[in-house]
Amino acid sequence: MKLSKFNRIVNDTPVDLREDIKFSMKVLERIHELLDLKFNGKQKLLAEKMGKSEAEISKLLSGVQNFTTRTLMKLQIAFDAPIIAVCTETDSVSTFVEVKMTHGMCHKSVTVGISGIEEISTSYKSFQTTKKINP
Amino acid sequence: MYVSFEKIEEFSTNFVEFYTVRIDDDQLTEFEIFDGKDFPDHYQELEIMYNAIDIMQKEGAHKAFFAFEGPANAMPVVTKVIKYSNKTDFGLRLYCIRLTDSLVVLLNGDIKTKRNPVECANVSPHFTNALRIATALDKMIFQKEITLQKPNSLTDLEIEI
Repeated sequence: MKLSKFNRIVNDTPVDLREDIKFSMKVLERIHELLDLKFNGKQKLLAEKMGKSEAEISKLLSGVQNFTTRTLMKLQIAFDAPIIAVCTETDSVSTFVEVKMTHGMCHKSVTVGISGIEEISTSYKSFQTTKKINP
Repeated sequence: MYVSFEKIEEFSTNFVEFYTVRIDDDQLTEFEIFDGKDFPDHYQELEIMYNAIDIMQKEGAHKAFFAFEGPANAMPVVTKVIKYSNKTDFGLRLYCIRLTDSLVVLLNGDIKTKRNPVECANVSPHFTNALRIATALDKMIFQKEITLQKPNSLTDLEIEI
């Protein structure tokens, strides 16, 4: 099949633009997923929740957009569920768990790698509050 | 009008199959005709459309990536909303039929000059064809003449519309 222009355009696309398109597509997919999950796929219900017209919501969901962070936050609030997340170095390489013990709390710093969870350090605090943070 | 389906091998993966159609005895398929057109003022949109098609080959053809236009499942592929000063330019449209996350038929398109595609001389024939082909496919699916769950389900299919 003769599709010379297609191949040329795709190959010439700057990496950052391609990543932007890919990101926008993933955001759109997530928004539609949440729309199905939270509003039974009905844009009208989302529009009501956001105080916007159905046409505005339809436009928002019908193509690759330059979603502003503000718009994404409004959508997250309307869905009461996350759409995007920010990565931090701490999130990606390590986390910690706090475990309630009889007389206090044990704070373990751990890394999550291919071989599973590895403990880096353990500190013991006298009992104050009980909190467990799941990685 | 006879429509024969042809798989676009270059685009098809284990994940998604892309097809296009050849109308009657045309030398080129509908998507080849689209690919051969020049849209110098709409390069950015074309770039997004083509990259979206390329990304879908690995990610799947999720319904979110298509915008429905009109009552049938004829739709332009994702387009960035670009504001044009000219009110007779509604942007580039590539009509296609998304049957499932794994099955897409790419057709033809052009620059839309009216809000209603039927009233636009540029896209009206492509929009109408997309609608007629989509209706014929829907009927065949309903009558179980084609099964979309199997690979190559549209290969060598011929219909009259």
